[in-house]
Amino acid sequence: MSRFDQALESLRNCPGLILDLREIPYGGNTRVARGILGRLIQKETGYQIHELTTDLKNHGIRRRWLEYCYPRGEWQYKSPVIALLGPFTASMGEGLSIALQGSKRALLAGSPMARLKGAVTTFTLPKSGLNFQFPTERLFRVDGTSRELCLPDYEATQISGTEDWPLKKASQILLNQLR
Amino acid sequence: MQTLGGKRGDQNLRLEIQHEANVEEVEIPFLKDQERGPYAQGISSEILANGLGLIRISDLIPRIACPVLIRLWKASGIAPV
Repeated sequence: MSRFDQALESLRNCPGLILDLREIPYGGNTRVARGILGRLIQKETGYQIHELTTDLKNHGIRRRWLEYCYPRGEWQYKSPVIALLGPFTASMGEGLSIALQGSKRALLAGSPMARLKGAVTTFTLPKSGLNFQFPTERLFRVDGTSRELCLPDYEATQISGTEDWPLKKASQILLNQLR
Repeated sequence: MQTLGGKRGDQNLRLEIQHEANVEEVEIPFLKDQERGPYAQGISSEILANGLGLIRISDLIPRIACPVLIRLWKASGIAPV
């Protein structure tokens, strides 16, 4: 988290911020995402909705809850933000993206994310001791949309060549917003 | 689900997946160089020529790890991923 804080500190006076989330195939946990989002918001903000699928399947009773995020740090970045997404924006990257979108704190640009259908839990096999992960929770944007159905606000796909077209488009969108 | 073996060719990764009695094989295309991100793993920041700030966030797992996992699970049909 301190590395993100240092990065943000160096960009404190920039009129707009691009968050490139295209390289997060694994991500981490929601603490990381909430830590990042916490530097971008001014008040308590809904992060995402969880649903424990076993309760509904085994007992017919739906169990959902909303996870919140809170401002963090000595100062928060207030200028416009756009996040760049791609097929390798997964897990925590998807969570952070839908939180930014759901809270209307940032626009999303890029191509559809990995569409992972929920949060995983780690289990250990009793004999071999091997660990494996399996989805146990479904996740939703704060408006109730399934995370895997959430799409960027602006489509921006990488085409052949070395120029980063999604980054270029995200810059244009952000600059238009600032005018 | 069990990964029985993998073979890495020039462009593709081939995996055999066993689920109960069914064994299936999937081809997973590797990414071309220009499709890979040009940046290092971790967090970096820079100010672009247009004055905007850019923070690039990436984690510590090689990029290929994710599509293999996703497509493997999709191919198996047993995990809702």
